[in-house]
Amino acid sequence: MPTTSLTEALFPRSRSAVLSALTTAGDEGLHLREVARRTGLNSKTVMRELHALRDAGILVSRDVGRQVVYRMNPDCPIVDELRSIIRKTVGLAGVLQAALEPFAERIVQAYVYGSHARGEERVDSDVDLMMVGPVSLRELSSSLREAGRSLRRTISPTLYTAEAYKKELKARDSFVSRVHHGPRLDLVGGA
Amino acid sequence: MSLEELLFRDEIAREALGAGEIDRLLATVDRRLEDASLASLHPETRLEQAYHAILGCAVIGLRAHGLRAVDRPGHHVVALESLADTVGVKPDRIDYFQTLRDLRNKDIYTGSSHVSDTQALEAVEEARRLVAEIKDWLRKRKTRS
Repeated sequence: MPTTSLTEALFPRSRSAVLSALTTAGDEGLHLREVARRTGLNSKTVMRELHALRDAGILVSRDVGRQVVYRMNPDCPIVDELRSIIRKTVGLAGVLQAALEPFAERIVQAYVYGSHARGEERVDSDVDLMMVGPVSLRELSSSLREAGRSLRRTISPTLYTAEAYKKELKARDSFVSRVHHGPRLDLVGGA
Repeated sequence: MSLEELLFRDEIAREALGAGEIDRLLATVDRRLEDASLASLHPETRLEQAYHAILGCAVIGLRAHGLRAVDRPGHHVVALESLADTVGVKPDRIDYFQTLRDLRNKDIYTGSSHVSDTQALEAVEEARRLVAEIKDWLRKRKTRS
């Protein structure tokens, strides 16, 4: 997927992995070991990245018992833009695009809608995923559940055939029409 | 997770099967499947009924082995997982059943779930397939015993 190379061009892989883990974790934040576990990076690399991002004001840290918990700094002037870049690349969109990749030829459109697309997700928000094409939820479920485990989110899929989607799109104030024309995080297609 | 592990973790418990119990459970499953097949119902309702038919099959699989899911949070997850060991259902189908559980829970607890006709029809077909398999499995067990 081209979006991965976009991120690789902007950040070293370890930095984008740490940012992805922290944007997905939300306001609760994560301690070093948890970041290492989620990213698969060694503790030394994670510590170097966390310190660099904190020194730049992108992260803030606080002591919780004997651990230091890091989270995105809400007062950082580019935090929203950064979240958006990560969400569209290695974060949510990257994970979901990878999960859908084996079915790419049959999915004509896929996007995230709801709180994640609006950038208003909470720690426990699920991921609303729309998919259009001749695929079945049964064949997609294992990949999507694996993606959900990776994101620590429940993925709530909605699946339409292309014909049914187009029909619903034309109906005024239908569910499909509302989400199609609302905030979307496009994964496949995008018309 | 195997049945032995589930027993060890007290997720399931042993309980002797009562007379006529499987027949009663099968009748409930058939009723759920019948309701799920009604085209006049909303897709969310059809999916929920299909899910209940699937869950009922999982309960039958456990009960036929003299087991029962312990009534505590997560017992639906456990019952569905047990289908792998009780009846031999493949993991990808169990993943699908767990996805149906998520969708059904979202509808109940948030009211914000949206199920398309495509999803409802698939759920009914998958439930119908599992019910047929459970009945076949029960027949074979009876023949063997």
